[in-house]
Amino acid sequence: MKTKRVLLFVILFCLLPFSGRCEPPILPDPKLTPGDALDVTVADISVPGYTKKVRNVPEEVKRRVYAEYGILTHAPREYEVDHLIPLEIGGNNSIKNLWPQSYITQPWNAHVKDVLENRLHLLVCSGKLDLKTAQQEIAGNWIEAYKKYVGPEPGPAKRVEATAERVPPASSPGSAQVWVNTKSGVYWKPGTTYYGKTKQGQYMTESEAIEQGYHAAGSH
Amino acid sequence: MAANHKLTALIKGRAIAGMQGSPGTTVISFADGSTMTVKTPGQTGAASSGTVAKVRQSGTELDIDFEDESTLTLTTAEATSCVMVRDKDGVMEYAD
Repeated sequence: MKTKRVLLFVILFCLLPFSGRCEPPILPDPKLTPGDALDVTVADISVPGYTKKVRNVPEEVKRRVYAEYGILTHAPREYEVDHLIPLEIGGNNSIKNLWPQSYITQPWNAHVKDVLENRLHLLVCSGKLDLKTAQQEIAGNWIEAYKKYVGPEPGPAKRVEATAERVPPASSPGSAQVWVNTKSGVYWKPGTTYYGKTKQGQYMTESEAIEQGYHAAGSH
Repeated sequence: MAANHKLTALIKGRAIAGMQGSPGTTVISFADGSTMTVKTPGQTGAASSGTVAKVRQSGTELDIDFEDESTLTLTTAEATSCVMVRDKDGVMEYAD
């Protein structure tokens, strides 16, 4: 009986590489995805709506990315073909900057990386972090960069915070938080349609939003 | 070949004023002062002129169709990340 179990285990183990699926890559393979960036300046990326100017990744390139990582099939919303160096800080659409990042692995996944991307964009645009340094650090090891610029590893409690990132931080009188759609460059005040609701965004004070070049919804 | 709608919408109607090539890069200057930089695998092709009607792109082939129905075909170094357009003031308008 024990021999049969061992034999079954050995057979399953041997079949694993041929199952057509790989473990979701938490970190990109540096040989396939070293990261790559556009020749842009801080002024370029600080313009609200900057990422809208960048072409979408063509489907044929996405298929190549999945193939490179040995992912032959995947469920909807299982992966995002993500930019290792995000567009917000000058990353480009080269296949050298793309990898299939899991939405579902815990605690590290595409949603958590989004938090880091927004943080780095904010730091670079406010002059608190050099653009090249931000690009190098996120390309080198985005998890370490997260720990450095956002906070410690998101455990279960942190994970709740990450998914509930849309809960605005407590604000003091005179520093009411607005929700900035970092993709479109528009910010939303409490009670307005998309306050805390856009896919990409973050909370900050209105004065911070204006300082960084964002504009109020409906003002343009 | 598929249309590149984003780039077409941006540069449609712009007239080419000049083209400069160096190994690995082609720079197209438009009459309005904007420029389009294209990373190429080698030396650029012959200079061309015309007013842009449409841009098509597939893989590493970038076709710029002109209003007179001629076409400028460029080969990009990669399928992506090889085209950038800046306006006359140097503000980025498009990146690939």
